Amino acid sequence: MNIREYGVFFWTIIGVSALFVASPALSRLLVYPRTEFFTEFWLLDSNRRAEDYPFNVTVGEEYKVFLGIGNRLGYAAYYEVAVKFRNQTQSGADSFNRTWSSLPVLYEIRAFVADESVWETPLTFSLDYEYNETLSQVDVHSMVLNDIPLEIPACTAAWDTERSGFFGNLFFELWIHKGTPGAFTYHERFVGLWLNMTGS
Amino acid sequence: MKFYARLALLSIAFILVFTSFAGSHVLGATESEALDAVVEAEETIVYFYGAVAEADRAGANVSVLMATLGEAGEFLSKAEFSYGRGDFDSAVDFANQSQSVLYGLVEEAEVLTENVIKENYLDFLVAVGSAIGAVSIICGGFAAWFFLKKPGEIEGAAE
Repeated sequence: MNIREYGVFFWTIIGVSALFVASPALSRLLVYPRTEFFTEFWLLDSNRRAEDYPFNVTVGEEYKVFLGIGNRLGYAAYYEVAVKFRNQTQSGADSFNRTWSSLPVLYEIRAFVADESVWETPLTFSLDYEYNETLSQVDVHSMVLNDIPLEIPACTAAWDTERSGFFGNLFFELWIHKGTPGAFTYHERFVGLWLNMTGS
Repeated sequence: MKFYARLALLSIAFILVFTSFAGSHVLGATESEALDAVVEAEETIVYFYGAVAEADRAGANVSVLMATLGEAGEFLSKAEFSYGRGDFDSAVDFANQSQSVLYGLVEEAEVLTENVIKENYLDFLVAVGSAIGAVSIICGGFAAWFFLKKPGEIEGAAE
């Protein structure tokens, strides 16, 4: 038997065998490097969809949403979500200038998310407010978030003539920990809901 | 005699109930005690987070450890909130609960990290072995190609 008569077959076998044996080494070398590192931050309705968010709210009625974080930063991250509430004129987070709201934090939610992992939590909230007939405005007193009563300081909503309603904004700012205790920095992400505070 | 036995049993039961209650609730905590407890809980969480992040960097599956940290974080949030409202007893209680949840987490993270380092080293050896194996197959192929041929071919090529 002459090996050269089977040259193509011989080298095919050699090549396939070499590739097969080298596959553990190749799998380490041929890994496409990650180039984008970021955090996803979202708010979903009670059905985990972006369709049916609470809008017209009434006093004491409970509403449910889902808050989520997706970590694509390349390391296990320690996040803090600052819960805030404001009217149409108060300071809000600014996605253009990448600044956070100067309003006081009503509550802080801590989240630890491993790299390439997702964290999601249900949030149930209700608002306590009353219509001030003298000033024609709504005085917002407090809210209950996941059974925790939170006072909302100095918040009144004036009548919005364009949109016909008394509007309040429940929003969540995302902060990230940078190593030392208390060292949270604003992660330039926020989500929120505009709520029309109705009488009934 | 029966009366004294009953009295002793009742006393023991009362002491047990009281100590278990006192163990989880701190009564009459001052503002500075509450602040210390909250700060200490925050520092503990950051320290433990560092250990878990180290395990994550090594490539370990840290989802369970992160969930435990999340639980501790929830207690810490409640501790800070209670402190902000002036409820110092609850603040100390939640801060203590935050720390107790984390008991043993660092050791677990270290074991995970060590295991992953061992696995990574083994993977590295397998990769090096496979690369050497592949090169050996190609060299063996060339050797077979040149040695397993008709004896007259080399002379024929030389002519």
